[in-house]
Amino acid sequence: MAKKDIKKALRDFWYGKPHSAEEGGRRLGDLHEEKTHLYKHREWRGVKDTLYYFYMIWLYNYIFMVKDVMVMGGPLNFAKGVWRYRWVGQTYLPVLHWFDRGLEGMRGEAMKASAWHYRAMVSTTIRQFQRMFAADTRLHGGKQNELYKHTIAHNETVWGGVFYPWDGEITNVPLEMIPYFVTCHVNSHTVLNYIDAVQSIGLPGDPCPMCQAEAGIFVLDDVPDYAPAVVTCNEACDASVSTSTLQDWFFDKPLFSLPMPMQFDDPLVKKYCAREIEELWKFVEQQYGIPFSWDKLVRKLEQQNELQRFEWEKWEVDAKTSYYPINGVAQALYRIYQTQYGDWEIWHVTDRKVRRIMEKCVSKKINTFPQTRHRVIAWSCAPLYYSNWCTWAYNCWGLNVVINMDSLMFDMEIRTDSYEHALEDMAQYHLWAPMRRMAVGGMKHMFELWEYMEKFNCDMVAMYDQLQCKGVQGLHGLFEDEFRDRNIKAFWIPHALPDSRTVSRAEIRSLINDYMTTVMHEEPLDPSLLDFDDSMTW
Amino acid sequence: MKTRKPDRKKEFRCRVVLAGSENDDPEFTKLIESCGARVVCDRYCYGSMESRQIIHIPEGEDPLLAIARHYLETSNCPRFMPQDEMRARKRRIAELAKEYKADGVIIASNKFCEYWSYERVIDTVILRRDFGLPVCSIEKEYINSASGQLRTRFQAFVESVEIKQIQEEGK
Repeated sequence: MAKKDIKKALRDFWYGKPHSAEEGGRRLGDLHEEKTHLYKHREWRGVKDTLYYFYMIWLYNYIFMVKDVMVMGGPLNFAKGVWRYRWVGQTYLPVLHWFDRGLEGMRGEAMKASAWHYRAMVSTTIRQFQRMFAADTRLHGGKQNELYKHTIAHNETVWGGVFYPWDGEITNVPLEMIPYFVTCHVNSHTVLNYIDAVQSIGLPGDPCPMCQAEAGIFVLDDVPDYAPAVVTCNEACDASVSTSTLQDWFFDKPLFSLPMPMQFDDPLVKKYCAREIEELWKFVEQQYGIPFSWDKLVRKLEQQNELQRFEWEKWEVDAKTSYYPINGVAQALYRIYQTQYGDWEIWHVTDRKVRRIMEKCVSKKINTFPQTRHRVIAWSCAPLYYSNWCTWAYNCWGLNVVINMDSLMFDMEIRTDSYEHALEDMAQYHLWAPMRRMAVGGMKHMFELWEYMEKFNCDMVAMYDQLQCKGVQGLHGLFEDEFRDRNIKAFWIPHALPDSRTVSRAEIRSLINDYMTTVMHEEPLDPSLLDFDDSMTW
Repeated sequence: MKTRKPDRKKEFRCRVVLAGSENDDPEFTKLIESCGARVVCDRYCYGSMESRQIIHIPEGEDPLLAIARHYLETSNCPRFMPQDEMRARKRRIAELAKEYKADGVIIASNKFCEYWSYERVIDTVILRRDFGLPVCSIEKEYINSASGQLRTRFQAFVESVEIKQIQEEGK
């Protein structure tokens, strides 16, 4: 072996192979089996990063997945839950594969910070399903235990913050967040059964597949009975309203509907929404006999504001520098999870860790995504079964998704100086629900894209095209016109939220590949990632 | 036997309540009736049950406000989601069937109406299970173009209602 080759082999061993084909290339596509996309062997990221990945991501998370189960609800409840509910059994073990998909090819500080976001989501997920199982009458011989009496169930699109006044006394657990939303990211096959189930009783295939899946878990009786009352809402669209009807039929227990007005810019509507929140508070008091606490509400809102202020700091670094250490998928999932669920200790712990990493990146001027060719903003609702497409896009093409629509949705602090101000801002926050403000909230808000694109210094748009979303579909042509008029480079990602059968991952990649070669006339950084079959992967 | 006159042939073989998405196509009702089912009542979003009600205008009140309130209070569109209203909608169809002496219910949802897509599915189960009503559940285009398939569905439904009646008479 020539001296030059030995040097290169040593360098590759110590630092990992370089990213681009021009530099010798790491060829990430060669690491996987066809179809299942399982690793033939794990990725060598250099000595430091491989060790970090093994100990601080892979092993650490496996250990904590066991520890969290032991601490939050215990192994018996977990075992019963795994036995009874297919969504947890099918998704618990592939969790680390979900990490691998989202963090593939990443190095250094970006890998670390992104992994901490994943870790927080896993912990919160375990806490929620363990609470479900611990309170579930079905797993406890029909008995309504104390945990059951102190848990409230709600639609996953109801902001958890509306329950802050009962912090420590009533635990809110979203109905579909874990059984459908989270599992879909981890194992995309699980959800298909639920979609089929609801269609098998006569539902046509055209309503939003997210709502179909939410309804399907009820049709298959795959939802724990863990709370005496339910809060539902009309977010994000008509199908969600209808899902509530179906849920009411299956649950047959006190249910409060918390509608979100569509015309949320109208101040009259905001007053109406505030009144609805107050009505919800009365409902909770009546159902649980526990009084509303203003002090708890203020304390939790202030803690949430703290999370929001750090998010703004992150955005500042993200928008103005190349030192931002969080990849597109971690940014999107963590932010939507955190803002939707509301304040929780794990978010603060994670933010402290990420702050340290980010400050290090800024002070040492570490270019966290050095192969960035384009700064991309992702707009509209993402495919749940391929949320990690942006990791692939960076590895293959150097497309760095720096920010996305869901992250930007709750761009506000909530005032706590008076009851009126808090309520007014809570109504506003509630009205800016996921998929609402910038997805179906009217053209003005959907076109906030241009402002954020400028603010985050982006030169390209990844435009999601949810094929069954009648809201966004109506503006498809207008976006096309605007892209042309403004001379913006944009590619479309068609998908059907959780249903990977409508547009496959391979098809999404193929569309991006076509755009990058035929419109941008660029060569891939890693040609091994251009075309591969991962149709059977989780 | 010689003096016995044959039974008078029934004009219709059964009576049905028609419920579902907005429908302004009289041909659809005609199609159902041509299959032997008399539509005794229609409960569309703006069918005869919802639309032919008096709008009360309290003295001194703006008529526009009265109309707005009337729509909000009387509409049975499935977009209304408070629990009492969701449940009242089911009861209302059953009450209409009883009031108009209907033998069954036809629930029709227009393609792409998400509210009625779900409502129809749930009604189909609940009206049978909780109220014992035979239900024909169909999804149709806004323009009634699939009349051949629909005709078959309605004929089969009418036949099944008749069989049910014969079975009940035989008990």
